[in-house]
Amino acid sequence: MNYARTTSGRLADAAIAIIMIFVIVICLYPLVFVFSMSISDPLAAAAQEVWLFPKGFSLNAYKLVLDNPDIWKSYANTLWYTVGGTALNVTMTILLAYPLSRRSFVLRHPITLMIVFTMLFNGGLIPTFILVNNIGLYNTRWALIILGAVGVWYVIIARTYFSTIPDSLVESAKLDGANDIRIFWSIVVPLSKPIIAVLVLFYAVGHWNSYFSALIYLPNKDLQPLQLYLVKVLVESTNLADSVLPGEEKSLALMQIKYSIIIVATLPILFVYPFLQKYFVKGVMIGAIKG
Amino acid sequence: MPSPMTASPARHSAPVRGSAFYKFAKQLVSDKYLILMVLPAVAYFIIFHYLPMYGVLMAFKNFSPSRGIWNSPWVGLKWFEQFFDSIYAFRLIKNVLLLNLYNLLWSFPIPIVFALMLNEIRKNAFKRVVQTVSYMPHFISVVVIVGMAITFLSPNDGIVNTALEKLGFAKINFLSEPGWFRTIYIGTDVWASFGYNSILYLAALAGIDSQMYEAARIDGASRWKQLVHVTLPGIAPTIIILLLLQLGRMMSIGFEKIILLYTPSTYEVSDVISSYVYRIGLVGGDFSFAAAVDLMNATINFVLIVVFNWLSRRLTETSLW
Amino acid sequence: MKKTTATIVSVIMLITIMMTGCSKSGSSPSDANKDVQPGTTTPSASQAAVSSTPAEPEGPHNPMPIVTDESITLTVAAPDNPFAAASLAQNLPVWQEIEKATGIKIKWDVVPNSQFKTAMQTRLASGTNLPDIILTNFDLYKYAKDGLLLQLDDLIAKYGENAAKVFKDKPLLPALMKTPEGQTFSLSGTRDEEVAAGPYGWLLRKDWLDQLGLQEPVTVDDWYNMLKAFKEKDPNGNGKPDEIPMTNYNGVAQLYYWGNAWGLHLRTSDGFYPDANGKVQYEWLDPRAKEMVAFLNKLVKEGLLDIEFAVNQKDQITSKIIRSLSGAVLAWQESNTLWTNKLREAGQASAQWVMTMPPAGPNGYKGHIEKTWLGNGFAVINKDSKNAEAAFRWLDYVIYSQENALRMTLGVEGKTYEMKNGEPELTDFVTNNPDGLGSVEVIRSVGAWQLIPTTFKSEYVSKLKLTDDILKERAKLVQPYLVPVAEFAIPTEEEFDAVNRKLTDIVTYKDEMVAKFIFGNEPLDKWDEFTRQIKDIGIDDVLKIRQAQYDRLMSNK
Repeated sequence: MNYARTTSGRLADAAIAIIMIFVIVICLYPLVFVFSMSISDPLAAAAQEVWLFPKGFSLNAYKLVLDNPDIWKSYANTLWYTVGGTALNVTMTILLAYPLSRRSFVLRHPITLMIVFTMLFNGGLIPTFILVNNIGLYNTRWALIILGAVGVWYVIIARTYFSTIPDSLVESAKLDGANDIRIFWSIVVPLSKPIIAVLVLFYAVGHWNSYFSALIYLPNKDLQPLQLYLVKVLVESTNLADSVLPGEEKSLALMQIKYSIIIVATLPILFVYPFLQKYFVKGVMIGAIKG
Repeated sequence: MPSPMTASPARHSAPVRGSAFYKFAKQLVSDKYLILMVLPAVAYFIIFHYLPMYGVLMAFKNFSPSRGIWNSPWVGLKWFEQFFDSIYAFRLIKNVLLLNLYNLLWSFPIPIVFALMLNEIRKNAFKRVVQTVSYMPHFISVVVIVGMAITFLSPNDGIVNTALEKLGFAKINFLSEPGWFRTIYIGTDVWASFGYNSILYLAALAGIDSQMYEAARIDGASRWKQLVHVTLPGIAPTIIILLLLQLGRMMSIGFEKIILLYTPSTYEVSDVISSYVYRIGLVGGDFSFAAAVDLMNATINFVLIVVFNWLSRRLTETSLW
Repeated sequence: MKKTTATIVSVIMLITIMMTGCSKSGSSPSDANKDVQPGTTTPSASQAAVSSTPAEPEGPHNPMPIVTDESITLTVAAPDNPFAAASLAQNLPVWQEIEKATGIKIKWDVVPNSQFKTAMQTRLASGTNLPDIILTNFDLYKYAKDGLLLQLDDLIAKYGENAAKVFKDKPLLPALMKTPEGQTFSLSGTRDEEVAAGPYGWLLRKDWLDQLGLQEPVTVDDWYNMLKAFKEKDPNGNGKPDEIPMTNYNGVAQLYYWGNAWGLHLRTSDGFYPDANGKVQYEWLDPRAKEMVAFLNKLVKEGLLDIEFAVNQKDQITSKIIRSLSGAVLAWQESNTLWTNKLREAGQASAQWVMTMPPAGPNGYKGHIEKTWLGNGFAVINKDSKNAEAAFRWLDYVIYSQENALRMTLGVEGKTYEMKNGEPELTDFVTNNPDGLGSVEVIRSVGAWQLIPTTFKSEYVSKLKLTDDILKERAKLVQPYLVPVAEFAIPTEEEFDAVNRKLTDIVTYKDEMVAKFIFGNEPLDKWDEFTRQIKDIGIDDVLKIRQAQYDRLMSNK
């Protein structure tokens, strides 16, 4: 991209650069702070002497979190749910969103209305629980994969993206004899890498962070994801219900736990984004395919 | 137009109805592959969202676990009356709406502006670094974010107040002042989520046909003009749709953060429906009352989204349905 | 004649032998309890100490083990271990011992405490996948009424041996467990003046007092003067006026403890307290409450109370205390140990935190501390359980037996405690844990001290909580100040409906206004408006119901 190097252009670039540096600072700082708190000496951490760099050194906060025989199993479970769940989510979402983006699709209106309605009104936890139970999904891995298989919000944004693919493209392919499925697979999907990357990211993060469904539907601890355990530890260390329980003085080590948890829980998922970034490259060659 | 093969003398007496149905059926056939594609997802919605939908009735019943929803006694609007009996009912609703409104004003545009700025960066390495770093705060749990806010804003020795003092101002007890609550709530929200929320716009920007930029440049458009005439229209549908979706959630609020940030002296702006219901305690499984509150929220959301969707359809070409 | 004598002697010997044999019948080697006749729940039980017939002794009878052939497995739902690294589902040491003692295997169904209510209510509401036993911390009356739970009265009469002993000492406990219809569906554990063993109170830094030549404060005016001295005389010696004399956490409501000095019960009892005539009053309407609020307002105005009191969490006050900024706080006594140790670690060799006596009011009232509630937790049995009897007997042992009380408080012999001179003493593993864990956390890691109904006996709790002489001494000194907390019977559904929403409004209003009064955002001459508004919202209706609940409880005793 060659932009003309005007003065106002350069000023704009400089301003943007400054703002971006500010962004880096305010976004990186919390993570650095959390990391420093997690490896500092517990006394220094409790005295809030840690601002940016760790004071003292102690891996106790990590030991307390990781010192659980089930933790590797939980990690594996989370991976399973995240990968499997995301694959199902993305597939079903784009399969639904693409037809809805075609203005000529006969069922476009009714289906859109139907799914948007579910975004606003739902029967609540108990009927869903009864249903899950009756279907036989209770206490099985599939509960976490199938529940929430499609998110209406994601369908809508995918649909919005698909609707930027011009009808003329689809029409000319039809004239060449292709059916909808073929068009979808060979033309639409390759052009939709950005939105697919976004869906993968959002769904994966959603699975990674989720714990409530596991809490309700997975009493079997061998099936439970990591987050469930981490939420337990987190709540225990902050003790939101402090005044109700007969007092226990927390060791300082426990107070540090909420920081090491964040690192343990999010480090893996943080590294997913850079891999997906390359799909956000500007300028998809729609024209080239047309030609 | 019906083909000569299917037209029959009988049809001429009721032509409109016959042809409309016929047309519909024909389209179903021609769209059959599309219908096949949507089948799994539609089945999912019917099974997991519509089958349990009867649970909404709980809002009108006195739910008894052993009788189930169908056989529990009907109480009509009793729970709604109870809610509005509270002297705080309107305050709670007002607080939710206002918090979400301010959120809309700030939290909505910032990710867009940020995405646009990112788009202008030419050094790829720098761009990717900023992108990656900006989405990290999203993963820091609310508990820690609130803890950090408390520390920074502390009237005893927090950074902000120390700076205020040095500049000659009086210290502010931020978290106990009703006037500051919204700012802090929304500020921390923006801080934690603008990077993550900008990802969607980045994807939309990536989807803009590069040929449009080519054409604009050939026409001699400046960077600014390109932004206004190519970029913005290119992501306009995304913006509008996201705005509509957001408007359909005006009564929903993350209650965990409220609970962590609020305190009795800020109740007048910080107490929302979900935090109030939490304090009621829902002893003994007061599902019916909770269901009634949820239904009320959902109805208000519904009205809002219908109205704004209609407006959007009138004023722009984009709408949810 | 000799033959007759011999016959008589042999008959006597026979009878004696039979008597000895009989009195041993039914007891197992592991049962430390004697088969004594309890009497509270079975009117026909005799008070005789020893059975004189070969038949079974009268009254509830619950020998251990319940079965010996491992034929019974019970599913137990409970909030999971607050010490998250050791989930109850891992079959922790304490529970292995319980399995051995009872012969019953346990299948755990655990949910983190913060979401336990939601998860359990969902299951109960859907009526499926219910465990045999649920150990909860919320009241299940509605489910009992709906027929999901097993009524326990007959089982208590038949098997509640350990329970009967506990009920004898605390007759209020079974009354608290009764539904408005007079039936019992849940079992609650209890505390033996738990508060006295590890009380909540006014903690201060004694070395600062010594440094400034002050005595421990007795009246609220003494407190004012002491805090003023903390503020002005630089006890932390760094030359900066950075002291925050008294800090606080857990919100505005925590400050209500100061009402104790005026004879009010505003915090633990939430302001609802029966007066000398047994009439339940709402003490916020009492003019003494205004005096307390005025006092707090003075403290805030003069910078003697941390202005962040409404916002502070535990982390914040710990930080202020460890940095020697604060010298007084309202907290649990055992915190003193942690703070004293950490301060000394940080170089302040003479630092010493102690709990002082509750302050006396300006009207001559000597001050008090409310005990915590008598009951803790609720244990219920699923009506459809196939092992109801075994489940009950298990509960009777786990919740009420002396043997298990020791276990649930002090853990496993050999690991967390040793018997020395007939007394259990905590081991080094607990008091000086290699991982830096606190003693309660270590106890939890073996499965004790859980969030389930338990009988907390003061002789065991004191071993855990009163770990040094100062703590022991202060706990003893505070005994005369203890007063009971207000307890009420389970409300009926109508009572509950009538009260619940109004009460939330009243409490919301009260907390909001009191916070404003304390901060000075609202002038105290608006107090009468404040009390009038409380009346308008409907405090009288609430009081009527509370009175009904109170009367019912007292009559059930």
